[in-house]
Amino acid sequence: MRVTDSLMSKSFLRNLSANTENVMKYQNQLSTLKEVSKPSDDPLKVSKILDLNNSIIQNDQYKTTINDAIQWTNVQDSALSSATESMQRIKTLIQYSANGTLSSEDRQANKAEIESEIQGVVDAFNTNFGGRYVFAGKNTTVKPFEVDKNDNGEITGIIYNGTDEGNGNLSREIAPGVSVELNTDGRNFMNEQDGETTDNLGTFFSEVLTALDEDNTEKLSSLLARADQEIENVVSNRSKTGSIFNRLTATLERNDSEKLNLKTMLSENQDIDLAEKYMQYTMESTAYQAALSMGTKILQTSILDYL
Amino acid sequence: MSGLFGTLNNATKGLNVQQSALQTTSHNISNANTVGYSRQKVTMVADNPYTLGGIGQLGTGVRISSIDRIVDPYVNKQLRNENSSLEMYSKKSEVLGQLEGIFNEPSTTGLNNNLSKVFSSWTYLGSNPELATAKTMVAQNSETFTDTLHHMSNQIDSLHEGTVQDIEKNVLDFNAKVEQLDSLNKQIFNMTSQGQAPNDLLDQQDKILSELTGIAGVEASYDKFNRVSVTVAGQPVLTEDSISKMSVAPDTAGQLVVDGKNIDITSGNIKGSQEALTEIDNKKQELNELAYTFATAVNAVHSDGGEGIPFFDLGEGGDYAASIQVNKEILNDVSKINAGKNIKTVVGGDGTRAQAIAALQNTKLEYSANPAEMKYNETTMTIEDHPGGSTVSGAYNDSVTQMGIVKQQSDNMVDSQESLVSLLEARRDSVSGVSINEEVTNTIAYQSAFEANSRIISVVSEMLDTLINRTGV
Repeated sequence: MRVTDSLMSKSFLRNLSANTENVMKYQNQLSTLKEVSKPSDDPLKVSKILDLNNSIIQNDQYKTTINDAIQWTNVQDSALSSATESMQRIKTLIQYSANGTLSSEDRQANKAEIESEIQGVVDAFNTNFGGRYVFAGKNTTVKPFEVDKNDNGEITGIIYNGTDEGNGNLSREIAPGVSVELNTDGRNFMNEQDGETTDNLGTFFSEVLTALDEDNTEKLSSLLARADQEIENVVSNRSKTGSIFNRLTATLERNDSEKLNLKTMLSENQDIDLAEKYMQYTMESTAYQAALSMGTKILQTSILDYL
Repeated sequence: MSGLFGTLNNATKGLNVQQSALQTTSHNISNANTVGYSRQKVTMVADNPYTLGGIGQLGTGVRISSIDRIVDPYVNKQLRNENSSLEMYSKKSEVLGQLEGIFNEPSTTGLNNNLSKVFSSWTYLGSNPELATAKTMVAQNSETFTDTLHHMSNQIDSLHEGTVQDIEKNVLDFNAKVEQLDSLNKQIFNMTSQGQAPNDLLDQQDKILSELTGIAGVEASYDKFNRVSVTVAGQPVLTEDSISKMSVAPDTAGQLVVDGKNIDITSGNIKGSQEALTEIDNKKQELNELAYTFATAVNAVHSDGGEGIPFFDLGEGGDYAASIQVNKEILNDVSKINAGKNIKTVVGGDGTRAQAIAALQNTKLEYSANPAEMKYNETTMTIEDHPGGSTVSGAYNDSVTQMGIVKQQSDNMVDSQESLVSLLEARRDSVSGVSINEEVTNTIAYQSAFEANSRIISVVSEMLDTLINRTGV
């Protein structure tokens, strides 16, 4: 083949530009630490990266929801713990008052204490978490429990202002397509008997107070069983909250491990192997320098140097 | 003619011929870097001999038979055509590269990320429907999303416009080059009809023709006078005696017109622009469909099937990516965002509707110019999956991936076409290129031949001196 000057300089320029292009590619990858920077670098990889980025943001959001729900159940748990204590105190006081040898004055003293414990129970049920009532069903902005008093200031019952129709439990989406229902329905604590609103926690309290006023020890004794039942109700709701808490913490762990998986996959698709890339870069840069030094030497030489 | 004067004549011819050869060599050297120049070569032949009766023929020196340019017409033609394809793919790659820049993926600021953030803020609202900030977040993130869409839509529009303008400029260039070819044809005809080879004019013709083919793939044919006729997609633009102008149709698709007829070229820079335009328009259409489907789905759930206020205002005219907006009413008062199931009476802690909107990110929807009506279920607040549909981010992802694949293909074509063209260029340079070493060597040869011829003249001169001044009495 006849080799001419233009042939040599063009091929030198072409090789040099190919070298430069490669060096630039590696320089770009090394300085961003990313394998791809635009869709055409590797369309399928970019597609995966987009998907993974989506999943990571989604996963983050689920984590926020789960953490919030966990705090929610924690608050519920401590509220129920204090409610249980108050209920137990009420039961003890009923038991004490059912004793026939007790004087009316003592019973009145017990009544005063019971009244304040009732208030304690209601306050516990009215626990508020970040501006939201935790046992109000979906009416989280309305104070759910209220002590109903007659004109004489005597407790006649408890009014529930939370959700009174349909599902009163708040649902939280904790994973794609997976929801958990928080135990937020306050009606659970009203413990309506046989679905009748006329006989509930409030009427029980009212009955206790009336019996105390009437010194009706028999009635008080018979109400002890009911007191147990009400305590049992709160405790069982507390254990329900506990099981939701357990489910949430388990989901949180899964969420964390999924996040790790997603990040690993993203890294596999998106990040460069620094050592490998640096080696490739060094090779390309050597080729580039070789092309420069060789090309400039050869192109300068001609027959004229020897005439 | 024999004798001393014959010899003197031989030497003079030799002198002249070597001088002409040297001039051609210097022409070659000075044009060593001229684009499109083909080296020229002086062909010398022995002149017609003088016949001496009974003895034989006596040489009468040298003459120039022709000065030729060294070209391989076949390589030139191939080079033209392959270069035309290269121009097409590199133009396409260049424009698609800009399109890719508009989409700006993968990044933390692209539309994909914005979309995820929108859904994420709906999820947050679903868990915290009481918080005004959660609603503000939904409104703000949705606005960022629509802003990004507007921005992309505008950029795509101006890319489209720029590409059409580029085609128009190229068409002007094309017409100017056809005119140059026409005037070259006339000069070439004048020379060749007189039996002369217009080497440098032919080089220019080759060069302009190659540039012309780079702009738009043309077919060239030559007559016996080396005049070139050019047709584009079967439509003549240059013949021996006529010339037609190319123009761009007034629609925005960059359609070429010659003599009132639409023509479809198959290669060249303009073809690359046209193909890129198709891709640009596709992406615009896909963005519009995405905006339409996403907004309609969110609106359906947010307004409970049209009962309440819509969340997005799609705007008129079908250019949804440019006109989509978060409902002004909602921007003015974020509390109008429906988070709960009951959109008439607001229940503080009910975030099920917001959750349902967040769940749209996993709903498979339809994206087309004429989508079927979405099936919204009021009880579950969900939209039925469209058979064969895809999620919103999935549809966007597809669009980006498809663009990446087209760009990658055209990049690959540029690479392979570049190596093909460089191979052909190497062939061309190998045949037609000027080699300085060769020319300098020739210079030495011609110089020594010139010196030798001069010596003959001085020898003959001495001989004549001897003959005239020293012989006789």
